[in-house]
Amino acid sequence: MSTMDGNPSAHGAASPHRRIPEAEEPQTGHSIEDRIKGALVKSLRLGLDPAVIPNDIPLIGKGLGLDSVSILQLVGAVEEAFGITVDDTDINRDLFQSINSVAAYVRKKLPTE
Amino acid sequence: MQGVLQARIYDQLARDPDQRCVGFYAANGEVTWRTREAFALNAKAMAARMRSEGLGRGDVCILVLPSKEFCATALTAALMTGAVPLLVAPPIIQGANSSLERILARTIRKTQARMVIADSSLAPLQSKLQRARRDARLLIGEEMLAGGSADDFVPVTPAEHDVAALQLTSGTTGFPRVCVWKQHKVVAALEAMVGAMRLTPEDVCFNWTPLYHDMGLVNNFFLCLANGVPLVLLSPQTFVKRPALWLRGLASTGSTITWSPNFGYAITAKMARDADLEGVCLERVRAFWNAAERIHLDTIQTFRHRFASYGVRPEALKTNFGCAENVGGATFSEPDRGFVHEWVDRRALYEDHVAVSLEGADEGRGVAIVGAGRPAPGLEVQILSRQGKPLPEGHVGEVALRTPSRMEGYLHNQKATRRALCGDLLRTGDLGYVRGQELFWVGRVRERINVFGKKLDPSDFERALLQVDGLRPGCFAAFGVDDEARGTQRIVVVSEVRPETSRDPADLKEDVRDRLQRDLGIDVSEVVLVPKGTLTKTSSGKRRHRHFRQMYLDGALPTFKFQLQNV
Repeated sequence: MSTMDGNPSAHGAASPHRRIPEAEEPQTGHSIEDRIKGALVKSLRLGLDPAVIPNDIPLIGKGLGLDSVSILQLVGAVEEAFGITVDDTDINRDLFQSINSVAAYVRKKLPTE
Repeated sequence: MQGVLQARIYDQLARDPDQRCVGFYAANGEVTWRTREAFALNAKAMAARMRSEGLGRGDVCILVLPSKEFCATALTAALMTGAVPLLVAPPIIQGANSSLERILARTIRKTQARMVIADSSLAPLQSKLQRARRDARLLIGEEMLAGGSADDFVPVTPAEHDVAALQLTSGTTGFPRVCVWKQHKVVAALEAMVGAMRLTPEDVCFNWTPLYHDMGLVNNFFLCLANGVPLVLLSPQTFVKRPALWLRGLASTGSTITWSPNFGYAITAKMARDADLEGVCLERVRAFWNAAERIHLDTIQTFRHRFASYGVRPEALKTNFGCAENVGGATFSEPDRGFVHEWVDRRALYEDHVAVSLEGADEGRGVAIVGAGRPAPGLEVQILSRQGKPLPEGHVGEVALRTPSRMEGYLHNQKATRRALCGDLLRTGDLGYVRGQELFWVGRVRERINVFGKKLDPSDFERALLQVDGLRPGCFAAFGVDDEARGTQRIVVVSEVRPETSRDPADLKEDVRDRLQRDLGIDVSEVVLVPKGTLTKTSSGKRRHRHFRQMYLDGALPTFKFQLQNV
């Protein structure tokens, strides 16, 4: 297949990312943004280094172009990573504008200490 | 009244009032059961509200709701008023979008809907939908149906030859066709399924497929309600977020039967971790039905091996072929055994349209075709040539059904109805062959894309692509490519580019994806840009999606050389 790269879940993600072997655990930092990127890469098996994903890249449409099933998988991974519940009614275009917008949502949902 | 869906449902609801009727499985693993009595009371109270808002026998009631308790109750309530329900897929990504607005407005007009029930996220559409039909009563938000009283409400029982329900064909893009189902045909479909599945009141069904899809609506909701079989519903969104919940729910509710398109098996095998499945035993599940999109041998085998230690038995893995035009399932794996498959010669299959059996994969010569089961009682499968003549065993042609549950036709679409209802047959538009009594599904007569159980017609893409500057109008191909890892298809769009365009190719590709997402709500995996003159049409002006799909797979599509053109 000419254009398939053996990476079934890239969903058109911009190409020049460094690929890492699937078995290798993605290296993630400790910021909420980094943890979201880690959850994204892991749940969708993107085979990318999370660090190369820009914080402002749109997740739907232009940008990563995640489909609705992938968005739900990401939501599941974020819920699990942070122990929060994302209401179905919160799953809208604004939320998935960028990693930053997801992070802002997570911050609002996390219990304040 | 034996041939009336409502009569069957009321009869079951009136028996053993304390018996479990519908359960709602939550993300925390708790199931909230409604007894027959409680479910009937809730539905009656809502039906009383619907009636007071003007809904009556024979009126079309459109429901645009997530597949949760409110939807299940409202659907039953609509049936109790004698209305004709039509379920439309609500958006997963919340909020109104142009594709949903167009589909809804057109469906409201086309069906002359009396009532539209939607959740509050669609409030921004209120005035636009009202313009589509001034007489339609729009009830947006659950609270609009609250406060009814079941006390004096007497449920309506329609007649056998009344329309029971309308169903959109499973695509959600473009303008889906509307299948018209008569009462006695729906009941015939349910009876065939009871026989083919050997359904008994001891069964418990567990379903995460959406209620707006015929798999959720007929194979689960109608089937269970009309036969007194307890049904557990898990929201499709929750399932996709955490597929392990499907298996946990099956085990904890003692369920025996469940349905899913192929991709559900694929993502569950991939995502469900052992840590999520502690204590889960699936030995009671006697049927994991796989239907509604191409069934991959790899997917079923991976699922089976992955969960064998949890009690998944080979004979429980079953396959089915059905379509909205037949109301419910048409062919089913045999009750006492699992799915069958065979290896056939790839070239002979796709070029000569004959299925020549092989011993195995035979170094790439062979392709595995999974059987879709044998005809349900009272149903007959015929394979037709292009000229409509019956073909012998092993020859690939259009799958036609002689079936007791055939739809009445497509609403206000005589041309498509004439094509589908041919003599006493239902022509399905699917390609397949028969061996023994088993039907083997091979593809579609017209190229269609099949992704996550939805069928998309490439011709729907044209209008959206016309909006993208830099593309040659109408010169495109769109097709699905099997994505085995996800167990479904991914969408590829190929388009010719205007030679004079100065647009950046990456921008152009993003525009195509963005436009198709906004206008049709679909996600394109890959956009390939090709030079003018690549995507030639047939002599009769038809697009050759299938041909260009093969060129794409062979790596034979030329790419557009922007650099050279734009120097």
